[in-house]
Amino acid sequence: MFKKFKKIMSISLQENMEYKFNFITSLICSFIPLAVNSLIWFSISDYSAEAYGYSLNEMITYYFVMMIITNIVYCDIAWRMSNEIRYGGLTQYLLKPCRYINYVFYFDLPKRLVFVIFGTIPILMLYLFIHRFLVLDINLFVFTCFLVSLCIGYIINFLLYYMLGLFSFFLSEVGGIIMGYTILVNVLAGKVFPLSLLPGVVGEIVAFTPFQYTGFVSASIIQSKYQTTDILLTLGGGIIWIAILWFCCEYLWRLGNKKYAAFGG
Amino acid sequence: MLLKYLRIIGMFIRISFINGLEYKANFILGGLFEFSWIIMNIIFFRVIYLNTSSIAGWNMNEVLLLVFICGFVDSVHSFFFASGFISIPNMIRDGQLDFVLLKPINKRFYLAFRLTNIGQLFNIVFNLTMIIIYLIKLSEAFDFLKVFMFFMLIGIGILIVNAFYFTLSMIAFWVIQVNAIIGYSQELFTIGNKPLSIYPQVIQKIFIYLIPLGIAFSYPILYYSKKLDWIDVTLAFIIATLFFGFSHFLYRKGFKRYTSASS
Amino acid sequence: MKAITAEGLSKIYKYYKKEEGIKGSIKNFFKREALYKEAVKGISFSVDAGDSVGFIGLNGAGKTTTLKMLSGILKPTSGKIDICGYSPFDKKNDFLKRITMVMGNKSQLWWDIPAIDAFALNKEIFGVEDIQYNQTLNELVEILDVGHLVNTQVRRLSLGERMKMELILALIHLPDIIFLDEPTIGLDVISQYNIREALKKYRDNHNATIILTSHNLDDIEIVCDKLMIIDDGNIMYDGQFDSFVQLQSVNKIMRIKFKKGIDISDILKDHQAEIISSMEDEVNVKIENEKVISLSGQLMSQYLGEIKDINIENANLQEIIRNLYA
Repeated sequence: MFKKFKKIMSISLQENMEYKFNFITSLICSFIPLAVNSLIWFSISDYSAEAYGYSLNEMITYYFVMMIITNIVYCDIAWRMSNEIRYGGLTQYLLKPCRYINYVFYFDLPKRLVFVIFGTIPILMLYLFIHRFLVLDINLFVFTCFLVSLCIGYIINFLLYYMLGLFSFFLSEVGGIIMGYTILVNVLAGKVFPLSLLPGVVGEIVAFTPFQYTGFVSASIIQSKYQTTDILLTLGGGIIWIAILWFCCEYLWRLGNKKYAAFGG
Repeated sequence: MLLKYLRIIGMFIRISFINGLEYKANFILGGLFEFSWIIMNIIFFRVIYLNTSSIAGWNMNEVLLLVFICGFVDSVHSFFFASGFISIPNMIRDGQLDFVLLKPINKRFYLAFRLTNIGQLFNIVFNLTMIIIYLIKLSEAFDFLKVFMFFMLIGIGILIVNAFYFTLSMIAFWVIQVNAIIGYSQELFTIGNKPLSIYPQVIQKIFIYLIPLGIAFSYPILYYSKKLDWIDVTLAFIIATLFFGFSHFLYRKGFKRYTSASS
Repeated sequence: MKAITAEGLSKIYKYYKKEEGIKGSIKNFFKREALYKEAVKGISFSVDAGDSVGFIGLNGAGKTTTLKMLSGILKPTSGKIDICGYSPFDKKNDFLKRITMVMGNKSQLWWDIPAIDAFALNKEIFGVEDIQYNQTLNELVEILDVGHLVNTQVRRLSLGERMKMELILALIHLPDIIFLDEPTIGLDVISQYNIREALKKYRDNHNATIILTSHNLDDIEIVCDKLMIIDDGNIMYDGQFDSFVQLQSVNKIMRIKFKKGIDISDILKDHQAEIISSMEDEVNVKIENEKVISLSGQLMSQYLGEIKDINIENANLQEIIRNLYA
């Protein structure tokens, strides 16, 4: 049983190596928002740490940590799924003794490993470059919670994109939706600015969405922005979201399958 | 002759419209997310400006005007060109490009306007309206020449963005998987659509002379706020032309190299 | 009058070797080995205006590559092509307006809009006058009997119907040179028939030149009068279709129907006729060309009252081609 998944993962790894340009550029990709956003904050005249809730160095650290988090949690399954569903490639999976969601999951997992393995050195180098600007105070408990939050974040991100992919059963051009969604999530996950900067009501609404788990929550944990109880509560919320999203995916999958079977030759 | 090309653009739009009526959800949602992006940027900068009055010498109105210029250029590009350009790597890969080669019409024109995206119409109108509103906020008096130049600079911004994305899709002739490259390009826009002045001189020069996104987005405002002289502006036009020329050169080279998918 | 002339045409592809496994992928990351394939090896041929040429060969023999060079899509590695005075690769607009290409496994149609809109777009792109457009459209729609389907979205059409629309789209600008690459692939028998008839009618009405590749030899047999066989980049036969069949068929098939009870096996043996199938009142045999007359004669004289029917056919084209490759 696991052999099957091993094979899937190994094929995925090979595909990843093939497209070398892909890997290098996607890594450079993620250094950029870090730099740009830091520059914006640096360019603010009379910066006040109380007003913004982060000192300048903490702010830079935020973007640094977010960069690592979003790369680990990244997921781009929706495009492939959309093609497979729209153009009938899905059929072959329905005939295989393996649930489609598992197939997609084990195909995506190695890509995360690729980042962790091959990304460590460039990120370490970057860290050496800019560590003067960073402030990171880590203890074992915080780090453990951080790792847990990463897992939760990846699964939530996966399920969200899986749901998007499933929309291909019902809509024909999901491409625009996937792209638009990715941009939206960039913001709601905290990639553009720390979600705690959002004033009042808006901030509270956003805290209720699952998107913050794909970035902001993990960053806040490792920057010790949470009290201990809050960490556990937040992580618990994350698990509840996983359950909710999982049920949504199952439901959409059933609905979609019915529709899929109705397509003609 | 020009009429023929205009008529064809009209037909492409009509096709997109028929599609839009058919796939209403996509039609509506298509523009909604770009719109959200604008809103979020507005929130971001408004939040920053709650506690300051200047970012690298730009006041809030200037920065918001920048957001809307980016939105406008982006939505015009998305309306006419984006879908067409994104489909080019696929067409190269599955050999659909063959059919394009057989059409007695300018190939670049065909590839550029082929897939119009009606859903962006709202964004175009919205951003244009906001540009006008904020332009008024920034103006003391109405100066026709100044406003004219302002919009001309936005015009070459559209040209630069077009050349930029076209260059990216041309790379598909050499590199198999361009999706990452397109992702990479989004990051360049992350750099380009911020106030140019926040960057160290080196970066500014790169984004003026090499990848003129700085010209595309920041120049209209810098010009309007009298931070540019006529030499800068002339240079901007020349650079835009050269950049477009480069994209065309790459296009010619790419087609030369094109070997259609076998069988 | 020569419509198409090709001299010393050849095409060499360059591709990269991919090694297996993860180790191979890592190796490819750093260094790749380039390999070359000579798909077309210096072929020469010519086609007269109004000819219909069937172009056959095994998969990978060079058919599609040749067609793509003729239409201007691919640049030949060496050699010259002249089509009505044009060099295809230049892709001059006047040239492009005179040719068309239909590919059985690729579609030019827009998936989500009715075919009629795709026709209208091509009309504009190819600069077809309104009157001519309407005339051609009506002619083709009638031949293919798709009047009731032109306003339906392409994705709702069956494969056969889509192919018909594909053909109309390709012919709407009244080209006089038509390239077809496996146009009937995947189609049911009736659709195949319709496509063939449409091609023939169009050719007759407009004196078009056709080059058609197909693995379905019925296409060639019905539509084409000339035949070109390509194998591994080289041309093995170039001439009249009938001559080829004559040349190659050493055998004929005879179907003999007779009254029950008579036994003609001795006579068959005398003429070295090989029995393919036999029933109580019918027998099918394979027999050499030269022996046909004498067998028929003997049957007629010996069994005049008992022979009901004698049918003489050429050997099957499939078999001929297969023998050629053997």
